[in-house]
Amino acid sequence: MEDARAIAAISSEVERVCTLLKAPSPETLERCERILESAAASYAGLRPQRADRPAVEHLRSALGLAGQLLESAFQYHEQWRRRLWSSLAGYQPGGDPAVVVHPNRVSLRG
Amino acid sequence: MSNVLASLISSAGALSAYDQVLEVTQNNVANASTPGFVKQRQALLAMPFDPNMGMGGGVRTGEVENARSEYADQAVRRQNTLLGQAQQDVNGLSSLQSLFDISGNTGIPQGLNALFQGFSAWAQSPNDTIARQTVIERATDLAANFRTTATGLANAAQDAERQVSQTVDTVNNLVGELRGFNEQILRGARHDAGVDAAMHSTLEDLCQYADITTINQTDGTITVLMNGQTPLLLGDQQYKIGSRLASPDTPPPVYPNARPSVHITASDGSDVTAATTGGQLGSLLNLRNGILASYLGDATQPGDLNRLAKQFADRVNGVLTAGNASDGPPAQPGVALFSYGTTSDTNVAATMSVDQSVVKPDLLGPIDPGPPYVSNGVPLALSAMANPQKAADQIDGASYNEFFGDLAARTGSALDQANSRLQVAQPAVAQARNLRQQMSGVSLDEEASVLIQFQRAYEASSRLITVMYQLTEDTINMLQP
Repeated sequence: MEDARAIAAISSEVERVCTLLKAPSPETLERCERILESAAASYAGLRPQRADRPAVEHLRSALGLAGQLLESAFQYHEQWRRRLWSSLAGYQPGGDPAVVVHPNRVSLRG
Repeated sequence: MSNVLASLISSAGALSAYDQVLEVTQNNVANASTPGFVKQRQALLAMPFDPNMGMGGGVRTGEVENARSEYADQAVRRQNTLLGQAQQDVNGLSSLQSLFDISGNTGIPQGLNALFQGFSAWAQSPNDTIARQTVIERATDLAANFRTTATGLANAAQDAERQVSQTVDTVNNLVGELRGFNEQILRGARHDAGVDAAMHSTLEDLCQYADITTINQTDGTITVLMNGQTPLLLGDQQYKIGSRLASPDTPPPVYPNARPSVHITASDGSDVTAATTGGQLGSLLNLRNGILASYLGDATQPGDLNRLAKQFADRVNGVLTAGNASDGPPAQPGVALFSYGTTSDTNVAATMSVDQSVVKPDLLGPIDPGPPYVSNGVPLALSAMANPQKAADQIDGASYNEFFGDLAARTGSALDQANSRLQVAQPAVAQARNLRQQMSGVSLDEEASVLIQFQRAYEASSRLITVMYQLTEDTINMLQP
């Protein structure tokens, strides 16, 4: 019973991740990462019994949704990045967008 | 000639200016994560346009920003198409599920179980008139259950046909509205924010119904394609789609009397049904031409409900007519229990019946003349069909109840998948709208910086979700009841 409550709490956290993923930004993704790290650590410490199976299934379903939302957001940005990069730097011989080099040089302002 | 040259010079100038914009943006993007880097901007001005003075105009500002905006709009529309499809799938399949009760308390499974019990009772009292009458009544009920299920499915098919027709009308009406916007743009309303907003709103409506692609033309109008290839709108010219019921001519239909399939036609009359898989229209076509046809049959298949009805009726009739009602002499052969329309194998379930004016209790034959002679051999053989050992008592290697369970599972499984897709599609639409909103007002340079941050963040969260999903999957497998 203790574990069922703990699993339900983890599910709530994963559902919070789903809510955050509806408006993904670097900041919200960082929050998602922290929440998921904490949830994974909590889950690793549990020893669910047969009676906890519905709670685990609910958690798995929430994780599935979170995974799909993460994937759709990733695809959105990845596709756009490829278009943007190809607009800015052209294409490689294989058809992939050319790599935009980030030299990380130091600039001084003022 | 001078106008052509002016146009070429204008184009070259615009390309050169565009190139400069890209160079500046590329430099900004390359330094997106450079501490202290100050981004640069390349301003572009519209060139004067006066053909009489040899000034060909030329504008190339904001090309990439426009592409980004269009990309974001397309992403919202794509998610809307998936949402429309999932919602329609859930609606259509939910109405079908009620026809396939596998609890055994109603419908065909209940009818089969009751009839098998009737056969068992008859085997115990082979000459009992009441036991024989019970068999006839239960067979009558089972035949009615087949007809009810077939009628329910046929009604669902008719409903799907009506909805396809309505959806096609809606698509044509919405495209008609878009044509009106294109006409306004061609008359000079290109930069009218009201027209732009109304056009985008109409496009979002439209994409729920079908898989729509739009292309922004240089004159400001939009071209709308369905399934990426069927033109619906080009400038001020609309190309209406249609729907019709038809059986294919090639290859020739195996079951010519079967209910025809629904087809979607482009304005030139070409059949675009196979390519129409997205949105509500794609869902309805899949329901009507795929799922329902698999039960009721079409030009190429008899339909599994009809196969079940025919094979069951033929097997029961075969066992009964091989037996005798009395030893005679002369021995009186048993009569068949079920009858059905023989005009088409796609019509068996809908016409299955027991003619009680012909099938009388004393005409049902319990005697298997053998050898070996068994006085109750016929009802014994019939009751054995409940848990069949012989291939002749099976359909596709399964019992009749199991086969019906598979039919029900087909709808149940499709409904489960549709519900899962709907569960994802609803937040995914919200996500795409938010992502579009986030882009609004953000410069490309800022966004490029964000994209770099995104790549890392996605990887980290994705790994965590994958690990946790696998952990829960393992737990569920270990906790199998």
